[in-house]
Amino acid sequence: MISEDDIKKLASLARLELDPAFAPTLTEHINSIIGYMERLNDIDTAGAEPMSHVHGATNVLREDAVQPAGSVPDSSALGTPTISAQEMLPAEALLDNVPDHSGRFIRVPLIVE
Amino acid sequence: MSDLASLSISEIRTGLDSKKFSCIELTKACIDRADRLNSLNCFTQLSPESAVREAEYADTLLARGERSNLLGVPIGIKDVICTKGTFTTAGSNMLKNFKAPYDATVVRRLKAAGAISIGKLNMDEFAMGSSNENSAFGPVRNPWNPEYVPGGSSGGSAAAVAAKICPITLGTDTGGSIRQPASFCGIVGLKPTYGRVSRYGVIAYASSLDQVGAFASNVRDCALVTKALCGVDVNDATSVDKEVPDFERVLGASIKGLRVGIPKEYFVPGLDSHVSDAVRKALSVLEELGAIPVEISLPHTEAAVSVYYILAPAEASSNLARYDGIRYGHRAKGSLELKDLYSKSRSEGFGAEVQRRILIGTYVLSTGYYDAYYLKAQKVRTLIAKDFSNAFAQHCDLIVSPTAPTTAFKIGEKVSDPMQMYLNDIFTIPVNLAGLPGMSIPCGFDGKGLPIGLQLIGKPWDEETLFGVASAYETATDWHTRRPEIAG
Amino acid sequence: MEYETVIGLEVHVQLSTKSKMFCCASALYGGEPNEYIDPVTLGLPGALPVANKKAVNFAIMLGLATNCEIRRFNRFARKHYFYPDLPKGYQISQFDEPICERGHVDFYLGDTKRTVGLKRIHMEEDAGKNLHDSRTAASLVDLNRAGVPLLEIVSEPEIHSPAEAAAYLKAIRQLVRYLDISDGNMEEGSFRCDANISLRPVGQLKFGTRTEIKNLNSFKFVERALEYEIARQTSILKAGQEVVQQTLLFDSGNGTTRPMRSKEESSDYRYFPDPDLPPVVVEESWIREVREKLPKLPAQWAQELVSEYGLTPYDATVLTAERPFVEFFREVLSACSNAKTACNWVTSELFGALNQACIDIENSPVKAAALGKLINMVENEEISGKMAKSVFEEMFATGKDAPTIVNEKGLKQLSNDDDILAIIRKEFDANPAQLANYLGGNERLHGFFVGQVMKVTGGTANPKKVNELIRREAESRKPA
Repeated sequence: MISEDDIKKLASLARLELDPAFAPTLTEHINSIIGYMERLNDIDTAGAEPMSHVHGATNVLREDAVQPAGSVPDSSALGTPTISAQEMLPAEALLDNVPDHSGRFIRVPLIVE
Repeated sequence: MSDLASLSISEIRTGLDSKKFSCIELTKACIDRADRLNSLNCFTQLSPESAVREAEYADTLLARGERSNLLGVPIGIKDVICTKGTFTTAGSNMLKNFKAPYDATVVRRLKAAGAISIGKLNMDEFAMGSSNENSAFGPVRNPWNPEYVPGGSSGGSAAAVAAKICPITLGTDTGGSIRQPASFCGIVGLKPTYGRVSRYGVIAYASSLDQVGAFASNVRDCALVTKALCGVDVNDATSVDKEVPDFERVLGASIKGLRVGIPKEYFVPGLDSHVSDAVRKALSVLEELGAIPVEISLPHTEAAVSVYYILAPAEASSNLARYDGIRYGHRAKGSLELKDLYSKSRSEGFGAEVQRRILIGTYVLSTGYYDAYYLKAQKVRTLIAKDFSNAFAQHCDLIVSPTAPTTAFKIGEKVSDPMQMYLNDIFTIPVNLAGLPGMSIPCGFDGKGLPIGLQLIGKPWDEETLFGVASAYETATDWHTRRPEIAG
Repeated sequence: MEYETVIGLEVHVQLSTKSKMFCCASALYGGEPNEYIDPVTLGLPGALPVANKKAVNFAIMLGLATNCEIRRFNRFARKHYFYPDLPKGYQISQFDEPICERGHVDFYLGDTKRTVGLKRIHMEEDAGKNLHDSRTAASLVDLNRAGVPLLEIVSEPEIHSPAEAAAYLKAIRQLVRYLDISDGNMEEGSFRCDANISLRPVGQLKFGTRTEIKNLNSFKFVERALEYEIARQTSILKAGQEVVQQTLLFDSGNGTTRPMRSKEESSDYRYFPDPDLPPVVVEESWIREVREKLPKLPAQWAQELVSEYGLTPYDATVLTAERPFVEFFREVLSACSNAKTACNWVTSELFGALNQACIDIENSPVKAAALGKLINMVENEEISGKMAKSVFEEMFATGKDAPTIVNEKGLKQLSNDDDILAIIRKEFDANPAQLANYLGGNERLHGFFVGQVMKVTGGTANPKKVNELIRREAESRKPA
């Protein structure tokens, strides 16, 4: 059984603010879901390797090369594109969505180390 | 000219190539229709300006004599896929203000093939849901009956095609999010083999399960779009360098002698009798076409839902850690300490189902529980995959089953019981866990006039067989020609 | 009660790849804030990592150089925590499957050879940087460093003094610089260290409660922080109290440590294999390939310098401190043959001049071949040792080679016996009184004649010859 207190701890770990009014229902739901999962205990998994990746591909690595900003143009021409590289965007475009900034820095509340 | 929106790709091809109508006219017809069917709530946003601009360009290319399968074909894109310069929200308040600065690889591929994006499609928040009721933009309604859900999480994508707003749409499928809504909306939807299609630029829900695929009103259209989507991408290390066959080639081929596996575990007491009847009938159609039905067993089927609801939330809790309101997305107002900024931004930004899955995922990965839940689930996942590979190695060339145990349910009917909602994916989830290609095609209607879907499951990388069988079945039946009333 | 100090070090080495660990943004140091970013660095929705092959190679190189076992089946794992400089909310690292395990590092602590075991070396990505502005109650995040490849090198708790800790760190730094996989620059943060330290009564096997000290960004700070922490823990234990297990931050301003607030909350990193990154399988052939390309390491060099060139272990240590030193030395030796002399020239004259001018050996105005030639000229008595020093200064200042300078200044040493003898005879004849006195046994006048000859030859006469020939000529003039 997961207690409401456990849920609070998980919420804190996941940086979620728990609505106290909703906490009991949430606890109940999570318990019913986790309870359902416990059926797995009845399955014999001796000798079964845990599967973390599906098709067994290995060594999918990239060469050590820098893509300068703007080096892959928009693919608007017709024809199936060879997706050769990532589209490198100017930093400014990437920073457009930053909610609070100071110059080129991203601003956050003071971090106490 | 509003009927233009309901044309298939080959009809569009003929029309555009012979200058019967222009791409601008076609695009405008789709957007008009989307506006008119606004009550279905299929879209999070329409982009008429950029669509018309792209259509103008397509018309120029057409006038120059350029020809290509998808040139000038309007498409809708699930709002979990990044499109440069437009909002990409994942159906979440967290990303309501997020403008993607880049195109997902699949979007680049479709643009390069000449397709015209008319807008972004509504969905369950971060692709978590089976009914499209978990969207910050409100629920999508099923075109066959607006009181009913269209399925999820790609509900908007399925509804838009069923309502004949545009011929093709993109969706994503993590545990059934393409096939189940395709089934609920009476259209064709394919989830390709894991690794077939690049996930770069697709907002991740559960990385080891997510795959992009297409919805269409017929098998051929689905094959054409799928062909354009597939292929290895250097930006996605899990995409696999496999040759992409010409799926169109297998359409109409004979299915004589093909062994069709029928998993006995999929025909259980909980299965709706209309669904079971329709699937049995579909099987006899396949048999008439020369296929050989074989009963098979996938013994770990029942465990799949448990495995999925451990692994997917675990990966989701990790994938969604980046939404903290610092670099993009929703940031809580007011002067807050850092930790409060995180939790306020995240709980304001995420809806209830997303928060529930983050908590479950956090729980199964935490110290002391990892082995009992996460690791155990990964081991059972191996057993589930083995069930399939054994069946394919010994008994059958493809597997046929119902896509979902029921037809569409009423909006609000299952929201209070998440576990009941999760069980909706019981037939689709195993396919994701094993990384296989899976397809849903229409195979009938229930007593309420709601569509029923037939699921085809293939060997890894064998989408061809699915297209072949689907096309043979489609030729022999007329379910795909039925239209919801709303689609005129 | 006497206490024994037990120290374990975690070193983070930033790899000198061109691009980041999992994306093709630049891994350069510096730059405008948030200049070296891309969708992956910024953790944008939909962005995916792809691992840098060179970084994996570098990890294997260091593993081989530290006698580690190289893991065949490697997976990357996600380590979760929330921090503004960590864009994805997790760091891609390795958890229970590090690429290198069970190695050791050998080094000298004074004259004593020491070996410290390595628990593991694993690959991971760096975080960005936070700048703090308490005036505006804000922190500013720069993600240029986020995603730069790191190797984390974890030692066994086998270090027993601050001095040994510093020597161990220097040995690691020397290795990564030899391998050319990192610049090991502590000021720029490409070589960082955290220390775990505990005390236990001498003779006790069980470890005491440890503290972890962060932010040790120079060898000096490592020693000072550890000394401070030893004193602090000693006084706690002597007072009969218990050390609290905690993470401390070293304040280089006042040389003390204080608990880190951000580490107060207990953490649960929820590691799991990263589904975005397929496993990396390091086959035997890959290891062989790396091993074949491995440069000669400092210990091998030192061994060779002592046994083949007859240098002292001390000289060998000085010359192998940096790979360019020993490479320079080897090049000097290809132009001259006396290793001992060459060593003296390199370690005293050259290093002195380079230090004073703040120039790296790579940019030395005196090239190795030129220095070898100069040493040869002394060996062949073409110039005197004393002259050679001023020629060297000229070479260092102008970049000209020794023969040119000697020619230009007419510094060529006068070594021909007949020529020197002629001058001596002339001087003897010109100074009959002094000669008589000298022949009479006044040794001081030997110096007088040496001085005269040197004066006349402008200092170019070979002093050894001058000495010898004056005596011989005087002998021949002594009355029978």
